[in-house]
Amino acid sequence: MTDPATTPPRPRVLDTAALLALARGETYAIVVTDVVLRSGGRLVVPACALSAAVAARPAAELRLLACTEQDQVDVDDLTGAAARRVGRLLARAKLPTELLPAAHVVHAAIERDRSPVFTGDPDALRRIDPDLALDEV
Amino acid sequence: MGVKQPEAGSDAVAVAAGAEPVMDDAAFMDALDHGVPAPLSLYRRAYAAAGVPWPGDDEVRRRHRVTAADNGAEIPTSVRVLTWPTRE
Repeated sequence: MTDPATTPPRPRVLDTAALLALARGETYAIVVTDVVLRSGGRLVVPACALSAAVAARPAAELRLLACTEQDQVDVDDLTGAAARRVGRLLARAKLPTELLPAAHVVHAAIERDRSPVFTGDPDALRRIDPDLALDEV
Repeated sequence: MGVKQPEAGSDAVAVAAGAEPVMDDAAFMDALDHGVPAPLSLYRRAYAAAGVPWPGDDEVRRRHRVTAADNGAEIPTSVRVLTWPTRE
């Protein structure tokens, strides 16, 4: 799938709404992730965002599985250390635990040299980190 | 009296979860493997968002399923870059 002539871009992180847009087959979500993968880039799916997507749309689980099993797609697991850092992000912003998936998305982006995020819910991410690079899908 | 908590910010997720798929499963798997037909202008936006230099119209047509009509009318109004780093 990768075109060897291109320089791989930085990873892109997907949030819950972007995952749902992709699973629904929205044109832009498909196109932009296809461009990343064909260019040798990687997509990062934070585990909490994946959980939230399955919880919000159980019927989309198989499609989400197909998305995350693609080459160059990494599920960012929530380890014990990461869980504490994600919790601190929420606490610092004085935000409710309902935003845990969004906080995991922000954490995954920060951990990857502030990789940009494909998002369908920019307001939630902005509350946690106003300076994050976002693209609305 | 407790501190007023911000809203959960999950409205967008709820909207996304509630919408029906725009394609069936077979078409979805095909889209994952081969992409979907889209106008060149949408690919131009996607390359910018992906941080990939534009390789030229002809090369994009070779790599992707580009539709012939490209007057920008097919671009969803929700597609916009909110913020972007000045360099990758």
